[in-house]
Amino acid sequence: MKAKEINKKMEDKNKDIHAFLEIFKQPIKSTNFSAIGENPLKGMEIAIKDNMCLEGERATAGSQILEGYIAPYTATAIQKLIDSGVSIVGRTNLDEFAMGSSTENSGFGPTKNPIDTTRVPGGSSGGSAAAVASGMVRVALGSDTGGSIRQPAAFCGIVGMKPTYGAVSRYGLIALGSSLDQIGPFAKTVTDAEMIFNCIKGKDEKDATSYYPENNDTNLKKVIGVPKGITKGLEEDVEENFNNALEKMKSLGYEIKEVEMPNLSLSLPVYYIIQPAEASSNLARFDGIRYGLSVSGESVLDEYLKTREVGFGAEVKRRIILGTYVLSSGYHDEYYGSALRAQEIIKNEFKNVFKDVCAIATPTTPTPAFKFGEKTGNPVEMYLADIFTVPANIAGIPAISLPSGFVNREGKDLPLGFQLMARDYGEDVLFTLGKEFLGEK
Amino acid sequence: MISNDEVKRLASLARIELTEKETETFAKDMGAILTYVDAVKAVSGAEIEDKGINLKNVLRDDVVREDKSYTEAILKNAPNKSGEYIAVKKIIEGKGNK
Repeated sequence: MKAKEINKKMEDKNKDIHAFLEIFKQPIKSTNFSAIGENPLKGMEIAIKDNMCLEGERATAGSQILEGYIAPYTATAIQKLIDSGVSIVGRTNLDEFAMGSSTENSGFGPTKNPIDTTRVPGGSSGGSAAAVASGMVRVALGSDTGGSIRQPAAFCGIVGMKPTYGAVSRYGLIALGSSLDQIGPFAKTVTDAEMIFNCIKGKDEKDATSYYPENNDTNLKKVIGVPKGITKGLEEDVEENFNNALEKMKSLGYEIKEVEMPNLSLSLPVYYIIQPAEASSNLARFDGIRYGLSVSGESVLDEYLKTREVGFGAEVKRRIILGTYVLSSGYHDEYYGSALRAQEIIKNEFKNVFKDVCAIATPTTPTPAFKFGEKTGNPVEMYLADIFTVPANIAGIPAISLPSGFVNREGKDLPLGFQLMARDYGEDVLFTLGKEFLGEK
Repeated sequence: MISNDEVKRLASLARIELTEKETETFAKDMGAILTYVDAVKAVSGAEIEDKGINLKNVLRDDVVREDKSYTEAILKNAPNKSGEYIAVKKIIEGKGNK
């Protein structure tokens, strides 16, 4: 098919799913494409979450406040892919500034789950997940601050991976929670996700937090830990799906071991202090003066107030105000200080458990994809959708969601995910186990 | 747990104007969220404070790389500009200068 026909086919499909905010008229690739040598990525089509900058193109972060903004430079992760020969086909939808678990917070309308269009695709990288799941692209990039790659991957029945914090440069990624954000791949196979990760990982001078060790201890103890009581409160078929996944790992020669992680449940409360605190600071830059939407007012202060009132959606405002509260004088140590100390306790708990196991397994999500509007009225309910994914961000460790079969809801088979977490820089462990789990060679 | 006035004060610190309805909704939401995150207060973390956080800074030399290579692209994004500068309304108002 010619580029034009492919483009038309994607545009048609996008009308139903709304995975893309923009499909480029011509895919964007290296200006030096013919000089790129043999590379398995050469010619591969990829979609990027619209919170990453691509020079000369729009970047909205799903927000009206970035109206008209044109990225002046390209994110390192995207540049590395372009240099390896991939074609960037478009920008995918997301919850505004990656704040959400359903894409319902996008300033440009939600994305639909390709498996059941009455349900959400998950979020915040819901557009990237839906683009891969519906076959519009082979792979996509997302970002994961508290589960924004793994949760939509689980809801859409594909592979999604969050690398170790710092493994992939964040240069050119519009920041949500800078100490938690990571860019990672969506794919239909672990092999594809691994190829993308190997291309984008590594130290980048433009991101002081980026780092990847050259030699990694790959000594693999074939033991998988399962936190005690992790399936408590889950619906029967979701628990059964998880147990079946564990049985499968057993049949592949892995020992399943119950591990004590009494502080794991602190992860989500810690997350909803650290992340809004960082977001409230990161989002101070959207002031109507340097770029994006600008609503004129009587004074500079008046312009700030009006621009941010009109430009930000409700969830973004809620988190900025929450972040301002936990950082404000009198509450700083009580909330933010306590959260940082609890984070260290959680990190240490993971470190101890990884002495005896190569990976820790949990379900990726407590439920399959939910319906539009089901959780929008209750922020805490929405936040609980990330209960199993958030711990990896708090600990900074890598984690992958693997499709693990289906459960039936209202006559539809909806996918679930099986999550594996590994120690710092243990991506190789996740890929090895993931390929075995999905039967990839 | 959080009053409407407190939400208004925080919104003003965060430079966001809120409608009355938003103020009320956020006060209610924040109450629920803060109740949920309260669990962290039970963490004493005494043993953590002693050890400190196990991280180190990675620094590089501050060197000029490419002169003005992004100037045009950055200025293009500015809603108001004056020559090679981003223009803003006057911030400091002198006495009798209104």
